[in-house]
Amino acid sequence: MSLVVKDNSFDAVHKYYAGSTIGVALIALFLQGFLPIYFPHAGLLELPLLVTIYFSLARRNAVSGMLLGAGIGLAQDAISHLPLGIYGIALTVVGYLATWVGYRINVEVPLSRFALTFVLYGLERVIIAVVERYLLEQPGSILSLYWLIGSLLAATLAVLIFPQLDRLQKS
Amino acid sequence: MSVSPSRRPLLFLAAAVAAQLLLLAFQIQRNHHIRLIQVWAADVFTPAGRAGTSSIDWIGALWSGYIDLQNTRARNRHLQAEVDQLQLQVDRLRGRAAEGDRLAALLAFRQSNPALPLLAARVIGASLAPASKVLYIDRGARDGVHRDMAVITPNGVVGKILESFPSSSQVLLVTDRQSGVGALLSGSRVEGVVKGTDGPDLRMDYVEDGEKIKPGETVLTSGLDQIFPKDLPVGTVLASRPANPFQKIEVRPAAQLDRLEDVLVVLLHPKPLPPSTAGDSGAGSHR
Repeated sequence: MSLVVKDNSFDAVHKYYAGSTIGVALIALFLQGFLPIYFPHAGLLELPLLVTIYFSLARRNAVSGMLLGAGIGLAQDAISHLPLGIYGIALTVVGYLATWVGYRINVEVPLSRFALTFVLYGLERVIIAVVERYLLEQPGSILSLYWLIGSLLAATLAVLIFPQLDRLQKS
Repeated sequence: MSVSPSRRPLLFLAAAVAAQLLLLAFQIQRNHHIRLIQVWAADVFTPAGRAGTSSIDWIGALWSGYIDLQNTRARNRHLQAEVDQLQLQVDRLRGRAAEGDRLAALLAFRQSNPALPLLAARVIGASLAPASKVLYIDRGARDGVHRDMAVITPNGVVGKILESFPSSSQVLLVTDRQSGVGALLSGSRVEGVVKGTDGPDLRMDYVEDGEKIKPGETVLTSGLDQIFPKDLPVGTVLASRPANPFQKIEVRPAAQLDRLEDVLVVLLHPKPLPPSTAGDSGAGSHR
């Protein structure tokens, strides 16, 4: 199966059961805060990011993707006791780009999901690092092995859980 | 302004990111608990305010410096008139100060010579003919001024009254060729007669060739002419040349005859000279 969209076969807008998006987002936020208690490095997985990417790809609506990303990001900021807007901005951009990419490549295949998640994970880290450096004046490394491993793990997890989330689609 | 549907999501993205940046800026605090949004606002508005202020200053300068010249011209005219008026006032005050000095000198001279009956007079005119060394004063017969009375200044001898009119008089200056003043040298007390030359200087006659005359020596009135009181300054010896039988002595007048404004008239009636001495003692006038 090709990664590049050749026709409109991948333009279908998927419908989900009521409340499934919000429910999944809430679960992801909960796990993002809960798991690091027992697994200190579980925060690397960035589950809210994965949820944003998934639903933005599935809804194929840029504004919806942005609003979803903004909502999840602001909630993540609030839970993390960070200034509101750090993750908000990052996931807003991620939601928009995921929708934009979803129009152009076949995101149903695992490889595209892996690659897209890997790239958007990196983009999220870059945006957060820029905001932290220039607004919060907290210099930190943008690219590091730690975040590289995190992006690989998140991309792998995306390949694993996106098919499970597909089950929430209305048939 | 319409936005194409394809660009609408991008605008939404920009708006969403901008809104969250503002949200962040509202929360983040910098030094002294100043919110980042305040820093940004200052960064944005301070240059704008400065530019606005500079623009207003520039426009104001343009207006006052170039456009509003009507008022400037009027103000300049007004100030120039004021300067002229003040200059006039200064000149008048200077004149009065000088007049005050002259009158003070006259008064001092009068007080130092209490025996002399003196009458202050103002010079009101000079002869129009260059060859004639006369001037007019504002005192005449009504004031007790008569012919042949001496006219002096604190600096020295001026001349004598030539004609007396009811309210003015004509004065013959000592520099006139027809004038003569009985005189003596202050050092040697050698007597002679000082006569006019029609030039700015005088000459002293009847001083024998053997007398030693030093330049700079003061020449005083001798009183022998019965017109000028004794020991008034006549002038200063400039030079002397031997001649037979009398020396030729040049004398510079003591009074500044070319800039007279106020004079004193000696109200003494000249005594008629004995016929035998009238010619040799310098009776004041040979007319």
